[in-house]
Amino acid sequence: MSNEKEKNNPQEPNEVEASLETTPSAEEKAPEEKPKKAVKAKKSEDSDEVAKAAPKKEVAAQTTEDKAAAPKEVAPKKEETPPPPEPGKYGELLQANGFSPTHLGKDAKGTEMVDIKSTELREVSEFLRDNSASKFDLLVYVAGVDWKDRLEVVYYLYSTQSFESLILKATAADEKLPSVTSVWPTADWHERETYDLFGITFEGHPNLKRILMPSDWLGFPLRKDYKVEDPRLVWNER
Amino acid sequence: MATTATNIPQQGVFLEKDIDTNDMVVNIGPQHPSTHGVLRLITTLDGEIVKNIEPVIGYLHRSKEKMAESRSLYQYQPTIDRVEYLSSFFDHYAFVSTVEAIAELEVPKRVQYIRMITMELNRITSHLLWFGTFLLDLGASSPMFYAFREREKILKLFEDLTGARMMYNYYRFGGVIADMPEGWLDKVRKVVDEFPDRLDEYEAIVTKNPIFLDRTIGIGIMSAEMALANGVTGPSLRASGIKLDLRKTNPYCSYDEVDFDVPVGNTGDCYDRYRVRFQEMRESLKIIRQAIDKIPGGDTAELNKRRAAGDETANEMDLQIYGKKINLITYKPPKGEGSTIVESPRGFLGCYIITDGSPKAYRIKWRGASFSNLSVLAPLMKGLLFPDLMAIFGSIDVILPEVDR
Repeated sequence: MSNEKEKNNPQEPNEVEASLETTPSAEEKAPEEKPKKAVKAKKSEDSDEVAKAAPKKEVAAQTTEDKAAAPKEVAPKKEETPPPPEPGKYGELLQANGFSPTHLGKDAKGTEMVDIKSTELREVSEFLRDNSASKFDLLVYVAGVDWKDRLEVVYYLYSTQSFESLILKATAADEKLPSVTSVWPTADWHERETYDLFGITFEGHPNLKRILMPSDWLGFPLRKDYKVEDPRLVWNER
Repeated sequence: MATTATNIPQQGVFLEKDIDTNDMVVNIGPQHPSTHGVLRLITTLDGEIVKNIEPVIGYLHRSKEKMAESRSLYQYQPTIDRVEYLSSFFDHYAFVSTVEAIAELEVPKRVQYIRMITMELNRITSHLLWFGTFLLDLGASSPMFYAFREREKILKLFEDLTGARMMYNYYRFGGVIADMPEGWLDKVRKVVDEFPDRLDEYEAIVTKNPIFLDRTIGIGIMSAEMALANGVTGPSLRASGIKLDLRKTNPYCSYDEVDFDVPVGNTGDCYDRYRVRFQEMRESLKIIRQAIDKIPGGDTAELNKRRAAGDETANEMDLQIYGKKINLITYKPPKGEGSTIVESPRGFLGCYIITDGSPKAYRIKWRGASFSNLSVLAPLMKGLLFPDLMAIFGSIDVILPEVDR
């Protein structure tokens, strides 16, 4: 056993070092064999891709590192962290028009998800409804989600022109969000339902009151910390 | 008791201070034969003209979304039937397909066709019940009996297939609970073949009936803009002239492999909504006929014969009824989220599921088509005659359990 350990232990770091050293050298050698034009084209493509994802300063820094061929990037720890989701079609559209969305990738059904600031919610909604590139004229539903540390509201939009869907998400800071009833009148009942079950106040809503639960109900049932503490329901415990 | 009584807000409709003495407030429901369940309509009338109408819902709220918090997905599944009991195959499809997408489960072709056949049969039963009750709302009681006679035949088919007439609980993650009984497809074909004659019969009684035409043509005209703004979907939206059917525009299941038309209305009045639903039943028959012909493996009897004879091609993936065997009792879908919308008989039926890696779902949201469709009643009824209220309400085809969930 001891012999095996002694044999194994010195080998492990050697292997790691070897892998660190060999991979960049192999990458360096590979482009030398190809004609120069192809190499240039490849580099420009790479830099374009990076430019989309990151601001310009970082791109410059990365290219210098590439030239130096530093082996630090091959460290295994970086591979474990999942890459940030790529911006989708409508996320880019919002970004290009002065909004600051956070791209959340796609859900299991392939629908693009975008997180937007609650202060921008109404402007973004109006933009998405009226802009010819998006035309989301149908609000399918509004759903609240209690993440224990924050309340989130999900808007599912559908376009009857392009037949595409988009999921907007907004965090309700201080349990408040601007209402989008002026953009899509159907939000009236959906926001009332979200208020009823989650206690999220929609500012600017014309008639914000309970819709599914009785009007004298206490508490908001779909919150994760909800407990029935209404003394009128004491017959439950008999 | 005393402390909480002060917190109780008043309903306040009858207690408004500046109530106009010329207006009359009429309360309809919650227990009323024309409201298709438990719906309360507080109407403000000026003579016979409806000035305002306020639907009060929630009498049938069974907290389906709260129930999901305390049940595993498998335990929750039987309760889905009760979200919308007239067409619960659609609820099951929305739920099951979302979980399948999150867990990336493969669904065999045979299962997809079985699902398509059952969903389209269910659309017919749902529209038939609507047909009966809509005419009952207008004062004609005999179509109800005809509609229920045909509906009974399809419910018998469902009973053969699933063991239940209304609460099917038939779909499973990645499959269905059991294959079709032997000879079931022939029974379906028989029902489907004799159905167009029955539809002609109904149309002969109703479609050209002068009393029916007087009650429906030009009544309750819903413009396309109003319908879209208020989230109306399904046949009611298509009657307003917008050709939006998720089976065509965003094909799911195997709807892209069958050929059918999407009937569209012109004006968006009650008559158009009636015509669109009637045409839809005929289109559903078309889909079922094609699906019976195209279903991989054919009838179960033939498939069983091939399997008994040792034919290995009869055990292909596409002919199975489960994509992957999973132990449903301990099943834990991976962490993720997904949202499905399907074209139910009443419009977009949505199911939004967030899973956190445990057997339970973190959050399940149901989007009932009737919920949004009912909300158009207030703007639509403004300025119309009170006697038309039940005709218009009936033509939108609202089902209350789906509104309240």
